[in-house]
Parts: sequence; C-alpha cells; structure tokens
Amino acid sequence: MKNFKLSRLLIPFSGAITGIAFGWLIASCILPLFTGCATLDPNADPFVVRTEQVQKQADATFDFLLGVDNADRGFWRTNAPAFHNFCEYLRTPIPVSPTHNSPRILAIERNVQDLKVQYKDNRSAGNSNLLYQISSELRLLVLQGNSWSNIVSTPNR
Amino acid sequence: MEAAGLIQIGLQVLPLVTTGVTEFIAWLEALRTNLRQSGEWTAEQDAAFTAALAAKENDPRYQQDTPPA
Repeated sequence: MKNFKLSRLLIPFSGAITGIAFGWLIASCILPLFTGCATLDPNADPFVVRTEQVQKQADATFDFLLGVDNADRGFWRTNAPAFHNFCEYLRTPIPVSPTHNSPRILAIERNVQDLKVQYKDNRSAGNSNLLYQISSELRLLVLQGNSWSNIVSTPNR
Repeated sequence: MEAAGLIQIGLQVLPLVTTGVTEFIAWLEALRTNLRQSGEWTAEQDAAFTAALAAKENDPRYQQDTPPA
C-alpha cells in the first residue's frame, strides 16, 4: 500500500466523473436559477396570465402523454391499463356542437380558451366565475397528467 | 407554483427516462417557457392557440382506440 493514492484509481474515470459532477451541478444548482417565475407586467391581469399558463401546461402535458401512449398502445393497454384508460378518457369524443364531436381534452381546452377570450372582452364577475370553474377543471386534469408523465416515462421496458 | 417543482422533479428523473425522451424534454422546455410568461397573450397568440387546438382534432394521438373488427 506504499505510495497508494486514491486519485490514481480514479484517473481512468476522471472524464466521466467530471461529466457526471458537472451535470449534477447544472441540474441541481444552476438550472433552478433560470426557471424562476417571471415578474408580471403591471398591465397584465394575473387571472388571465395564470389561466394561460394552465392552458400552455395542459397543451404540453397532454401532447406528451398521449404521444407516449400512442407510440405503443398495445403495451400500455396490457402493462399499465390505468394509464391507457386515462388516455382513452381524454380521447373520448364528446359533443361540442349539434353536429360535431371532439376529443374530451380538446373540448375542455377549447372551452377554456373561448371563456378566456370572452372574459378578456368583458371582465365581469359572471365571466370570471365561469372561467375560474372550467380552468380549475383543466388544472386538475393537468395535475393528474403530470403525475402520469413522471410515472410512465421511467419504466424498465 | 407547481410548474417550478415539476421542472426540478423532471430534471432529477431525466436520467431515468426510457420512454419518449424527446417529448419529455419538450415537455420540460414548455414548462420552463410557461414560467417565464409575464403578460397576457396578444390577439394573434390567442388565434394561433385556437387554430392549433382545432388542428389537433385529426391528430392520431388524440384518436380513440379502433374497436376490434
């Protein structure tokens, strides 16, 4: 054990260790600094901005989830039926007009969008209540979707 | 706000992701962009979002399973 130095053992791995350490440093210390919330413009209505954030989050979340399920529906139907059923629930066509059906999640997103535009045109308490109700529904679905997104993207297949 | 927490969880989960890596990163990126929103959408952005929703009606990802014949 004469002249033994731990650092000699680590030399072959030094590149990888440096890479991992650097990645960990970025992931845990630096990136969160760039992901903080932006300051709201003084003229912006916080309720509208919050609703738009939920809309955008819903858009990204459901594109991702339904894309993952669509990539191999047979696999998810067999191995994660709860997840596949959630996706099918989101896809179920519901009537949005007397002559037209739309996938449930798109109908809800469209409903939020229409009510938000209506609220922007007329910021009355009635419009605000309607928008709050439907955007809360969407937010709950997004929260459920976010839980699934972390679960289904890390299985050992 | 839950989006900030989700990003941090997503970054920790990222090395373990085996399914839909590209989509997962796109999802994280969308959350990050979302947090940086500081004002209301313009009328053009509203119209673009509505059009994007309408375009998804025919997206295969949004179609139900075809019933067995």
